[in-house]
Amino acid sequence: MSASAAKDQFDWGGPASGRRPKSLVVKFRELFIPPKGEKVLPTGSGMILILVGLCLGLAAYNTENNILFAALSLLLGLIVMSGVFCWANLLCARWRLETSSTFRVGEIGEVAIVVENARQWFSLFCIKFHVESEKTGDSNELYLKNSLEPGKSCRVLWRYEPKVRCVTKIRILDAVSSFPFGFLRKHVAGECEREVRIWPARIDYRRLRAPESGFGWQGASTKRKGSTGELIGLRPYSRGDAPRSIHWKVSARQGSLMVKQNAAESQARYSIVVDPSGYLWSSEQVFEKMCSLVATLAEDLFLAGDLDYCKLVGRTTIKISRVADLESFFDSIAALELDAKAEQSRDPAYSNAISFTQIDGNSVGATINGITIAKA
Amino acid sequence: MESQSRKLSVYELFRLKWLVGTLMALVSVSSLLNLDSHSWVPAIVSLVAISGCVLFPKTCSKAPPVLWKVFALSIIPLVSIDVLAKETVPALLNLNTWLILYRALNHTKRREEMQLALLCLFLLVMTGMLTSSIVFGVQLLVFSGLAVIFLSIGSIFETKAEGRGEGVLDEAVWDDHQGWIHLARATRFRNLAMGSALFGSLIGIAGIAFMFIPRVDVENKVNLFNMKSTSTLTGFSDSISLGDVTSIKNDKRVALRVDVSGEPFVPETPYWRMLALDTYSKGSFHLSAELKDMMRAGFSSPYHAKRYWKNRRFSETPSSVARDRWTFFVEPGVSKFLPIVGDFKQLTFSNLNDLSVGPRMHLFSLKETPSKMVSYQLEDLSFSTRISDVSMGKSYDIPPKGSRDDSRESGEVYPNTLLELPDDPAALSYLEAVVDEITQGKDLSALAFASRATEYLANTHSYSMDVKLPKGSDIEDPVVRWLQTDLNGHCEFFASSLILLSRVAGHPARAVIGYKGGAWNAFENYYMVRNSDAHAWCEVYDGLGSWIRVDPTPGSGMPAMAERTIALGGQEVEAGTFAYVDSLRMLWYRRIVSFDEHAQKQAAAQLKEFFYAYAQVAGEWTTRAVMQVYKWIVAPWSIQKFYYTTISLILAIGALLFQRNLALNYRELFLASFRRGDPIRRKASKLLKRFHQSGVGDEAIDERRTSVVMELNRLRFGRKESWSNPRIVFKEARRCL
Repeated sequence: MSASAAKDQFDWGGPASGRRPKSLVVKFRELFIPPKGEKVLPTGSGMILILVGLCLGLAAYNTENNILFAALSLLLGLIVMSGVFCWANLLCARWRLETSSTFRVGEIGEVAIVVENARQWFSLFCIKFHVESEKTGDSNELYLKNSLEPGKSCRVLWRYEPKVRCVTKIRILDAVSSFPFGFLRKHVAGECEREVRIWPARIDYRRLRAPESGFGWQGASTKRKGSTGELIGLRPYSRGDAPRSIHWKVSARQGSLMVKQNAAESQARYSIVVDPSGYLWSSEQVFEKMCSLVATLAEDLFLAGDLDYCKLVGRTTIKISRVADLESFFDSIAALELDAKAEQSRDPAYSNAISFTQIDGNSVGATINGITIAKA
Repeated sequence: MESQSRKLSVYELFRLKWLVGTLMALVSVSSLLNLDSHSWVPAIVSLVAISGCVLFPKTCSKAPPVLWKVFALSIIPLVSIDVLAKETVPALLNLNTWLILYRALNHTKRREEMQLALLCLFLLVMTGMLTSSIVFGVQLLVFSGLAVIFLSIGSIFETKAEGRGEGVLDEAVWDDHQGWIHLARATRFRNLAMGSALFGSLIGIAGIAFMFIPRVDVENKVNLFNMKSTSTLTGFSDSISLGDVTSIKNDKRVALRVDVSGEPFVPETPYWRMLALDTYSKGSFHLSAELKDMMRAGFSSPYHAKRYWKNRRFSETPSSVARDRWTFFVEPGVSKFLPIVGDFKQLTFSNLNDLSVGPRMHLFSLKETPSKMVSYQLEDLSFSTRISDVSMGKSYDIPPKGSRDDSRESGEVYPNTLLELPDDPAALSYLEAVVDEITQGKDLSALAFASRATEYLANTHSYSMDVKLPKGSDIEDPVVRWLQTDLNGHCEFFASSLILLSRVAGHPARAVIGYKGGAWNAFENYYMVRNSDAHAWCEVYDGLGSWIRVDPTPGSGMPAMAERTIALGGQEVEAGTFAYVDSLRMLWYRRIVSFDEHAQKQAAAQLKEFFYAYAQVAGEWTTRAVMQVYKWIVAPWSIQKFYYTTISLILAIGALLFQRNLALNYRELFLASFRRGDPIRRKASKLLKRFHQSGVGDEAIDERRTSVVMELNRLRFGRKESWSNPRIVFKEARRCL
């Protein structure tokens, strides 16, 4: 419990994150020499105000008129206050980045910034966050729309719909405060980033009937591990196991969580083999279509209980028995790149496994033992 | 009762911003009403239009956009007419007013907000420069407060609208408007407090900046935004008719404030001399054409005054010599002639090019009657009833006594104008008869004649402000007609009579207009001279190079060679509510309007002295305290003293032990209120961090450390019910470190 709470602290970014305790001297020095990523810049209004201030100053010195000096003092006061308050506004703010567990091309995921006001008395106002996805180049500005009471936190949401399959880093570039007057804006480094894997989009494909291959066959219960058949054993709990599979009585006796292993009612019969070799795919577009078909087919086979193994050529093979395994495979697909250097000598035929080839120009076909079972 | 405060929606924020913007415009445009000499029509039209829109915003929002476009385009011909018909400054003011009206009712974008704020500031500063009045100061304060709120709401609105302020606004923005009171109720007290804090901070910072912005004396200062007053409040010009001075006697407004420093003695009744007139014609005095021309000519510049007054200096900066200084603050529109008291060594005025000097009549005048407060300073004053003449007997030949017929024939040529009399022979005969009665055939000196004439007038007439001359006399001249009667009269009748009598007796005389007396403001220690103190008296030439001040109005005393002085502060003191309000105005003039390089240095010196004085007081107090403790210790000890000491020591040790038993020290207890989170958890977190950073000891210590770290973790993350005594855990942790 304590460990997770302690770890939680390190997810925070921002001046009040407590990541780098600073002495008073350092804090004072940073007022004049801001650290990297921090800067104070005038806004458009601020530039106009500075220009007007310069003109007023010129007139005041040439006329020695104290009315002009009074007006100049007011403008200076406004600029100074603008700087001090936009700095002080951010001083006790901290934030962290939270993202949806999965992102898929064409589907909306959530990128949220949890902002907390670490002050005791004063509210937090008007903060703007620049968020971007490193690989895809997507970016957005998120605003803290309402003032945040002392000690309170809130979530600022970005409903992000990725367009490209990739592994990317979503990061808070910076947080900007121009409160209260909007003449100067203080930039503070975001300090938060999170790696996300964007899975390929679901794709429409045509399933071709192949009676001899038995695609869609459902059999009797076997001694293979599954989730719905009879209990065949117990194993220790591992992350991703469904809570309903936990055997609570045994867990209580053992002192650690134990999970039931049931026999599967049908046998998964297919494996998927994905070969990213450059010579197989004429273009990136076809390759992306292949990735989408792989993901879609794998998902459908898994839902039908017909998926056994997933293999990425040149990488590890994943045994698919749980949702987490499938997600792991999708994560690998997200990171899959066209291997332009691969040699053609590789044997593309895999027995009793679904492999993918380019057919009919830009189409992709899923074949098993040389028979095309699906086409996209 | 449940509070109605809540977070405002985007529409509500926009409406609030719009309201504050229009209020800002109202304050700014209302500053035009401070200008008496400027047409109030654009200001009143704008005020009415803006107020109407504030009261009925929904109606205003339904105005078709083409209306605003037409208005924007009509500004061009309006201003063009102004430029062609008037001077630049009024045209600029009108242009600014129309633009504010347009922008106040149409501001949605961020740049439009800035335009409105800057236009309002520009108009306010312009009117401030033209008036320099304290009303401007108050308006500037109100404007600053509104500007702070306006800009803050603008920032919040932009954020709430996700940087697309204009995009979220549509025609429905005013649909659910339920009135300003409803909106005000929804505003949270916390936001009001924050706005007040922002405003207070702004004023504080601006005040410090105003004091510390370095002031530099610049030669050839630029004169921005000068405007002449269309009329004088007093009517004091180079021509004064009977009754002109008395007509303002009921005006209780302060016309002149005089700040006195370094002078222990001041005249018992100061005569603030503004204007001296030589030519007389049917009851009115005016400045002869020749003197007028001389005032306008190039050599009336104060730079040429050295020729007349060897020991007198005119400067744009005060001298560094330590001597008494009288600073005059003349209200806007009083007169173009500057009031002067006594003789002086230096006159300091901000722009000497605007000043004309009339040495012959001892006049100091501006080119035009100013529309703003005018200040100047006299240094090293000496008080006398005499004024040295610079022309009589030098530049001009004085007509000898008894040759008045010749002088009359010569017409209005200075200095003969100083002996000018009514043309009417009957009037002249009557005056000669009166003079004979006064002199009784003796050849009197100017002073003696003035004294007897004053006595004669006092015996035959009394003072009254209400004079009605009888009709039917064969003499046209009103002064002589008054002399013929035993009617009461005001100062102008007495002064004019004495001038005519002196001239008949062969003594050149001139009329002097200004103020007499004044009240001493006890709050800020300065003279307040009101329009009701306006007075007329005369000066008679003594034939020896001096003009003697003669005030024949009853109650003013007899003419004397020396001025009667009293100690400063011994005058008539005014300390009522009016005086207090007026002292604020003086404070404004002293601290803001007249704050110059000299004042800045003085302020810096005062600040330095203040800190030195406090450091000295603190040092003395410490020394005294230490000495007292020492004396108390070395003094013989009694039983009571012993008990007292013992109890004090026990209490002190008890307090120390109590503190040691607290989990937090005093510093941590004090800082806890300023920091986030539980102070115990905070301290535990700090100690855990130190444990993490420290090295590893022997095995026994490691066991102890493990147990302490576990306890610290419990304090840091555990439920409060599971805590051990934090004081003991912290103590143990410190031992392990």
